Amino acid sequence: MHDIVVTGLGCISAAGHNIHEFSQQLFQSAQRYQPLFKPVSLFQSSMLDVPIAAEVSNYHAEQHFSQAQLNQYDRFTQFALLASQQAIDDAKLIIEPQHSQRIGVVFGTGIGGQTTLEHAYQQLYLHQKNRVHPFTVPKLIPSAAASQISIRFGITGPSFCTSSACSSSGHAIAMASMMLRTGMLDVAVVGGAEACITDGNFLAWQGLRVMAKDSCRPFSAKRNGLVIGEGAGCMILETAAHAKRRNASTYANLIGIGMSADAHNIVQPLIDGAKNAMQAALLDAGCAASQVDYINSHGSGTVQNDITECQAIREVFQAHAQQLPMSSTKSLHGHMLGAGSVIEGIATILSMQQQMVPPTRNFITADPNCSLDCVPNQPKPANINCAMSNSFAFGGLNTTLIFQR
Amino acid sequence: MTVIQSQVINILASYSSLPCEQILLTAPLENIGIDSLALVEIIFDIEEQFDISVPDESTLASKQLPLSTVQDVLNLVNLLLNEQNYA
Repeated sequence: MHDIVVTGLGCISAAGHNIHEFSQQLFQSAQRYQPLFKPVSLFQSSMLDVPIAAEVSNYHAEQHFSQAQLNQYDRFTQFALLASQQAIDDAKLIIEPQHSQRIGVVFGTGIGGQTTLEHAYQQLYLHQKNRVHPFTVPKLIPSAAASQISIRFGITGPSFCTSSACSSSGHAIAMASMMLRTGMLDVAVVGGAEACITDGNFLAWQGLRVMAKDSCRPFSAKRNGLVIGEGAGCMILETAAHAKRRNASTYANLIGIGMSADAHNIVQPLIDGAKNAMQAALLDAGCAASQVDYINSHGSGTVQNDITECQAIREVFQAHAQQLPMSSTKSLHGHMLGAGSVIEGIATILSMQQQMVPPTRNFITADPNCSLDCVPNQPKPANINCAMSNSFAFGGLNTTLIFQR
Repeated sequence: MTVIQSQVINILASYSSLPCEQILLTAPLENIGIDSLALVEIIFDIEEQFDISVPDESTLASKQLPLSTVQDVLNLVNLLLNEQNYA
């Protein structure tokens, strides 16, 4: 089985248009931190209270793509292409026809081309049109991002989309890892993208009564839900042998992947499901729970998830849990849904690179039901050699990744 | 140049490698950089612009209405507008 290394990173989110900006935001001191959640501006809200979201700010699609390209790229695909370009450049990966079949793309998304879908429905039902743009279908399908990445970079190996709500990009990383480990691929462009800050989608989310009124405050006693974010993240994964042959620099080793299903409820999390994913990852990594130095938690900021996750962590890590820093970066970049796992995996890798735990932002006061060190508000220097990243999705689909320096 | 002709040429130019003033009526679409994928979008733009419905490829072929040149496109638009006016 091949070892896997991470050789390139790229991202775009409310926390910046690239890895450098993201890293600056991630480790910003509490004194200089400015919340990134704002009232939505991407659509005219029909709701009485304008909801907040973590939108990608100062983004002008026409600066990156031609009109002909934009006719084919939904917003989520645009983000996917920008993040993957960054990651490929960062990895200094040259893709040539003679080896392009040894490279694959696995990209996750929760819902795909939501903007395109809602625009088409508006044309039909609001404006009573009997036609929509001919590229509506190839633009909105969830696999569009994976396809367009493979087209743009000439990647001809196994390429597909994974969709499992908040674990979509976690499953993308897991699937690609299995292909790399078995030698089916040398390199994988993996990640996730989500851009569903739209009127209809937000109305639908409001019905679930899980959206925060004021901010995302994971593990805090005053938390009241999640804040939806948008953007994309991308990692270049390679077999260690391939990376060594081309003298690639590496960020980290991906040493463990764990997956589980709750088999419980379509929205409520289950302690055992989260526990199983974390234990599966530890077993896969061949490392003891006590060797984990930091957990980037799912930490969505909902009352229920945060309690469940803390209990699961206590049960997996036992005594070690009390000294194990565990933070939620969703408090910074929002809940990026299908892109969540990869952006949080990137945050985890950056924490090892910087030897610093990114804090849980917007924290007010401790919740006795979440009595773990969630590193409130201020980043904390730490010796991080091995770190875990969790994603626990609607419908009980869970992924855990473990990275090592 | 009629208004309709000007509007059709403007639509074609937005997908062409050439500006409006260099697009000749006799030019084959492929010669001005318009491939089959672009033609799908052009048809949509024409339907939106003129509020007409362009028949599918097999229907056009059966009526001997090719879409190979700029003139073909203009002829089709005029035909469909006339049919609509007399409907």
